[in-house]
Amino acid sequence: MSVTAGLAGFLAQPGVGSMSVAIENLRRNWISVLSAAALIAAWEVVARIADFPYLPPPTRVLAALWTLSLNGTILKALSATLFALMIGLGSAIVLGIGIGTAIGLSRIARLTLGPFIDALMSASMTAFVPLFILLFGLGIETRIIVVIAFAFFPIVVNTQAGMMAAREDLIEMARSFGAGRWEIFWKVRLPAAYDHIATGLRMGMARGVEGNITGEVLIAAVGLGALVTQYGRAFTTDRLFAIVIVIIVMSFAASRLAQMLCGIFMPGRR
Amino acid sequence: MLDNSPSIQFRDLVKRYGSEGGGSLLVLDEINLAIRPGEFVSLIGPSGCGKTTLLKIIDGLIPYDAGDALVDGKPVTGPGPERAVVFQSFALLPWRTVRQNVAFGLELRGIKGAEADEIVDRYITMVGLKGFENHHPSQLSGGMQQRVGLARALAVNPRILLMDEPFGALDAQTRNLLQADLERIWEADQKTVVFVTHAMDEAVFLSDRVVILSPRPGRIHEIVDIDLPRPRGEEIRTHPRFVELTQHIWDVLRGMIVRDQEVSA
Repeated sequence: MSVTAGLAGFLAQPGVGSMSVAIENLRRNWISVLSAAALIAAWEVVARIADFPYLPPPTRVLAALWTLSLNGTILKALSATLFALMIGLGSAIVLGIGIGTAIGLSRIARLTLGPFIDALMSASMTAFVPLFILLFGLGIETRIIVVIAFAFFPIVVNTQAGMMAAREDLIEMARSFGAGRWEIFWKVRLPAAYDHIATGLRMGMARGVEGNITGEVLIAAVGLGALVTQYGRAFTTDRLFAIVIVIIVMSFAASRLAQMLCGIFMPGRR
Repeated sequence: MLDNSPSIQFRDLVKRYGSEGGGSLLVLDEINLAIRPGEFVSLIGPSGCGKTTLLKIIDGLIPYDAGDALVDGKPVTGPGPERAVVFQSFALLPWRTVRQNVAFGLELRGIKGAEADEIVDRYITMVGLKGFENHHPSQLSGGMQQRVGLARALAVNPRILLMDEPFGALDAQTRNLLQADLERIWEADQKTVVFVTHAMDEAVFLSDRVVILSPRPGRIHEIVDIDLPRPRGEEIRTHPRFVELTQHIWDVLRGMIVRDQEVSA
């Protein structure tokens, strides 16, 4: 007890805690930065020595990225991509968290919907794209549906797991203090599911971006997917890699955005 | 009038647990007990004697099958504001700070803002956690976590405090400190306390009466009056009467445990 108290007291001193955290972060990041730099440098060297036409050195990829940014190609593609992506991801979040919560809390929902979700989760979503085209046509609706289909499953499965992860003794404690079902949900189950839901959102957003590009490649040549197809066919791999970088950044941004939303819309967590 | 009527009363209480295959297991049988307001009563007995079940019945967390469980003369139908529980597992919300955990019960009763702050501060000070208000449970030792659990229960100002092996997960030294603190807090505003424990010295140190339950089915075997003076300090632990009472309870329990082992052997 005294050790914990002493340590806690030490960390509570102004500056000490935050400083050690900052140092720790720096150390961890330095390792990541160094390893990334080493990888890129190695790639650069290998690509230049081997002079393999389809493995452009990073400097050429960056140059392509620069050119495509300046001439507006990327911006134009992004504006076409982002609308369907945002609508799709937003719907997947609402549906995924909603249905995941229902399955996690209700036995009937679990018995009726659970098997379908388990089966579909392991199915390749790409295989369903032709079906979606037949059902919904070649328009933006179909691309939105593909985004939802990709992003939905990680969110629903993780939300369900989170809802079932709440410790029984905490629920009993809340009941003992007079909490009803609704209060137990808001004050115990949902906050207990926070980490699971955040994981589901992170995975779901990345999958959704993947679905978005898949949709743009397979359904209609629009947005970034069209550029992927175009540069891929033309074997202009420096441009292809440049677009891949844009996609990764987009995926990253979507994840961060979802986590921010998670923080805002989860009362009782703090 | 209130002083003469029992705070908690069991009349021929029976509790069964349904078991697989339609049969049922008798957990508590013919429990008759009346606990006075302000009395400190411990329930002690071997595993399977139903002491935790009995505590949860008083809190209204689990139903009973026959007889009566009365709190202030009224049948228990569910948890109520005059009762609060301290749990063996502490049952703290890990994402909340000490202060937010202590405020949990108040929050559910709609007490917020300055009023809640004042109450929370008072009980955090009372259990000796001043300075740790903004720590999370994971940053605290077991003893400190249970102090949070105690403050949370006291903060809703219950007339009845139900404690389910609250110090069972703690080491011996921490346990002694918390017993002394609990005794001091109880002396200050004599709540009715029902205290489930495995530890004989703990039961004797804290209680007015110790109820010894026998297992399978849980029945009241003997009720021991603890006629030690109050307030009780550390020195009471070496009092001849303390040693005698502890020894007596052990003798009774040992008899049960030995018999139990012979039956199952």
